[in-house]
Amino acid sequence: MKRQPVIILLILFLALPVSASAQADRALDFVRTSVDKVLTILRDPAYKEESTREIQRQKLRTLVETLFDYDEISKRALGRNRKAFTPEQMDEFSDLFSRFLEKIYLDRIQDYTDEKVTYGKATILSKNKIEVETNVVTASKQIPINYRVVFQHEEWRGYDVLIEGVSLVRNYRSQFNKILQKKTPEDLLQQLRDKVNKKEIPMD
Amino acid sequence: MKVNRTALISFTLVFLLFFAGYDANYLKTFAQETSLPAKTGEETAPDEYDEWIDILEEEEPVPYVRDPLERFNRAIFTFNDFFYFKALKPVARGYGFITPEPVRVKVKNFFYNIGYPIRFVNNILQAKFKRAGQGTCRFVFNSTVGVLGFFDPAQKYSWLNPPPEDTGQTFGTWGIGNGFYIVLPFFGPSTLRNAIGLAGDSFLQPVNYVKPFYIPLGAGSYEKVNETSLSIDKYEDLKESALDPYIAFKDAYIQNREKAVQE
Repeated sequence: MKRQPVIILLILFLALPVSASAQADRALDFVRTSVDKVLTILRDPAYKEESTREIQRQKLRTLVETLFDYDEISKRALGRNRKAFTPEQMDEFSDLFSRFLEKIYLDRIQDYTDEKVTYGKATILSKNKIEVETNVVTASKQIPINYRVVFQHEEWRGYDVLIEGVSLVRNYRSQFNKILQKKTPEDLLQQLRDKVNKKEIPMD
Repeated sequence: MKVNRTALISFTLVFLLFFAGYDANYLKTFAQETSLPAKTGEETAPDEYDEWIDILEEEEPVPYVRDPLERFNRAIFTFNDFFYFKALKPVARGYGFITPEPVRVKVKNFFYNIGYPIRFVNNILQAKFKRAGQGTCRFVFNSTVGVLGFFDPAQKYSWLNPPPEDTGQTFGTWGIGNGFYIVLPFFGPSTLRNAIGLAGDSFLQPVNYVKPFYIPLGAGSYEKVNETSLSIDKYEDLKESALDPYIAFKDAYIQNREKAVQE
C-alpha cells in the first residue's frame, strides 16, 4: 500500500519524456510523408513532358496548400507590422504572399533531378511546435533543409522552412520591416501584386 | 482514502515540476530577448498582439545588427552584383563547361582540407578540444588516404566532420558582438567582427605563406571560381525570391553566421 505513490510517480516520470518525444515522432512522420507525397508527383513519369508541366504544377500547388499554413506564415512574416494592416489588407496580403511563394519555389522544385532526402532529428521548440531536420543530398553537396511544423486544429502544418540555417519567414520579415519603414501597407501590397502578376521575373 | 490523497499530491507535484521547468526555460529565453536592442525605436502600447509578438521573437533569438553605413553598403552591394553577373558568373560558367563536375568537387575538397589550420586554431581558442582532435584526424586521413585531400573518404564518418570554425566565430563565442553590418568588395556581406575575423583567418591559411604574392591571390580567386561553378544559381535564387535583395542577403548572412557561432 505504501509503495503505490512511489510507483505512480515513477510511471509519470517515465511517461512525460515519452509523450514529448512521441509528439516529435509524429512531426517527423508528418514531414516524411509530406516530402514523400511531393517526391511522388515530381518523380511521376507522366509529367516528364514539357507540355504536362503545368498540370504537374497544379497538382503540386493543391498538395502544398494542404501542407503549409499560409495564414500563420503571413502573420509571422509581417511580425510587428501586422498592426498597420486592416483585416481586408491582411487577407489580401496572405493571398498574394502565398501566390508569390508558390510562384518562386514551385518552379524550383519542379527542376528537381535526382536528389535524395535524408531525415535527421526532430527538436521540440514549444508545446505544439517542432523543428524537423532533413538533408537534400546531391552529387556534390548536402543542403540542410529544416521544416518547422505546428500542431493546431488537430492537424500538422508547416509554418517555416530553414535552408542552411536561414529561416525564410524571418528573411521575409526583415525585408517587410524595411519596406514598411518608409512605405504604407498598400505600397507593399502593390509591390507583391506586381511580382505575382509578372510573367517572368528577369534574372540580370 | 489516504492512498488517493498521496497519489493526488504526487500527481500535482509532477505537474508542478513539469511547468516549473517549462517556465524556467521561458524566462531564460525571455531574459535573452529583453537584453537585445529594441527592433524599432518607437514605443508601442501593450495590446492584443504583444503577447504573440513576444512568443514570436522568443522563438527566433537572432541578434539585430545595425547598419549605419547602409548607403555605402548598398553601393558596394550593387558593385558586387555587377561583378558577379559580368565577371565571376561567366568565368565560372566557362570553367564549369570545360571541367567535369567530379574534378571540381575534388578541387573543392583540396581547398577545404588545406584550410585545416584555421579550423584547428579556432577550435582550440574556443576550447572545443574534442572537435580539434576530430578535425586533425580528418586532415590526416584525407591527406593520406584521400591523396592530399583531393578525395574525401572522411565524408562517410559523421564524427570526422565537425562543423568548421573560423576567427569570426571565435570572437562570437567569446561574447564579442557583431558590431555593425558591412559589405566588403568581392567578399560580400560581413560585419565589423567577422571582417576582422577574416583578416585573422588569412594569417592561418597556409596558402597565403607561399611566395610570390600572386600565388595566394590566384589560388584564392581560383577557389572562388571553382566554388561558384558548383553553386551556379544560388545567388540568383536568393536574389529572385527577394523583394529587397540587399536586406535579404544581409539577413541571410546574419542568420547563417549566428547558427555557425552557436554550433
